[in-house]
Amino acid sequence: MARMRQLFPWFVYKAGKNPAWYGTLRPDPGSFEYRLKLEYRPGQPPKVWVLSPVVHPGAPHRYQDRSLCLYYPRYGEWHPGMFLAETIVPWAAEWLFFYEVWLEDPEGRWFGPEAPHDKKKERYR
Amino acid sequence: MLALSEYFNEFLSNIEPPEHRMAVAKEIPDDVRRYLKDSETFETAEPHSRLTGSYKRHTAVHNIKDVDFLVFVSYEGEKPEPAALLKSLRATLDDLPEALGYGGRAQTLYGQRRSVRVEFDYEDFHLDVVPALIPNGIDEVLLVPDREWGKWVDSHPLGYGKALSELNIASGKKVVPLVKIFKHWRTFQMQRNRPKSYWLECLVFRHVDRGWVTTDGKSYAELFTDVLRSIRERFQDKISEGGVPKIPDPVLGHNVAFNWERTAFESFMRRLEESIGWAERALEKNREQLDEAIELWQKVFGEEYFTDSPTLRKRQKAAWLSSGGWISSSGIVSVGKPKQEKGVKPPKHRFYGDEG
Repeated sequence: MARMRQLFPWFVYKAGKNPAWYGTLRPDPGSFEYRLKLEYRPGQPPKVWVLSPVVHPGAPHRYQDRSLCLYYPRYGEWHPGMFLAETIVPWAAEWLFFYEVWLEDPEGRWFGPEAPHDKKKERYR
Repeated sequence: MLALSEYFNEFLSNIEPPEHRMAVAKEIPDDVRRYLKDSETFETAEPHSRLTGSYKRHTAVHNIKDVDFLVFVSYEGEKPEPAALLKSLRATLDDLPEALGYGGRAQTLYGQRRSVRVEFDYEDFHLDVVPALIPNGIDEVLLVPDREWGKWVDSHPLGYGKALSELNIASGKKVVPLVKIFKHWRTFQMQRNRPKSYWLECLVFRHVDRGWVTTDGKSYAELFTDVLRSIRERFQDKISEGGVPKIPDPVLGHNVAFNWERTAFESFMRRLEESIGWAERALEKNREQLDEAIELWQKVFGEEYFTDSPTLRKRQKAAWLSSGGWISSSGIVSVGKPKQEKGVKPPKHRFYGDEG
């Protein structure tokens, strides 16, 4: 928690029945301010949702529950020993940045690093 | 080395021929080819005609003002007289507007040295119809008439088209865009005494084909600079020796620039030298000096290109960030370490898709 407060002071932890971090990120000076929810429960991978503004339904790199797909689980790019503030939150900021570029790119390219996909998936608008 | 990949991609898409010109370039030649195929006064041989030139090779830039096509001439025994054949082709094309029902599309014919030019006044467009004999099949060297020399001369435009296509694939599809960049550079840098587009194609082809310019892992910015440097290196001696250099045809080997004048060559070399200076300085800039690099490329290609926009700037940043960047406390993603806020450089990762 201390690391989060130090690096991303706009993120606050809300305890309760469904504890989660809530915060805002603006990936580029001219961007929207995105409101995010970060859920992390022991024994499960962290999950991040964009609460607002609404993400384009065709946006790539999201799970079926619409949470962001920030790393390749099979290669251990993230493990519980890592700080959320040093991995998941900055990766979410990157996701937002590449998402905005994807939205405006005439060819619908995703410029971020991508893991290979096992199955064919519609990635473009 | 600062490679402005997205700016070059945008630049390449801006120098492409516009769609409406592509449509004209496609529609009119098709009509004329059909007309000649059906003509009773000018007998053609299978496969009757083929498109050639930069339109066919996809090396055209800006407005397509001309399309070249070969019309294959049927003959038996002795070859026809070149001048007589060109005259006969011109006479046949005289009836073209009426036959095609072009109505308002005025048409003017010009007898060229090796072709008949058909100009469509209202389209700002012309066709160069080149008659050709097929002594050994269309995949081999063809013969085209030369009015001035009064003889048939070797020509292999289809062979060159094939060779260019193969070289383009072998180079990771970088040769054709490079030809386009070079042609645009010539048009912007030289108002008079411009070297012909085909000479520039031959130069790029030769320098890549010989391995003097390598394409692997290079951006268009680097490649273009390398092409200019390679040409300078091989043409420099001619500046002190006198004369003009030869530019060999990629397939037949003859000098395509046989009528290049000394003053035109000197002017080309001056423009080349100047642009190498700007390009090298642009490549030396770092990512914090984007504005300066853009300004230098604008000197090379013109101020209406490499124009900056928030979208393009962001796309360029995205291309640089694909190998990682910094994130500030407010979430701003940047190539360098944030100066105003705290920042973190996250470990490498890859976005993944839907796991279902």
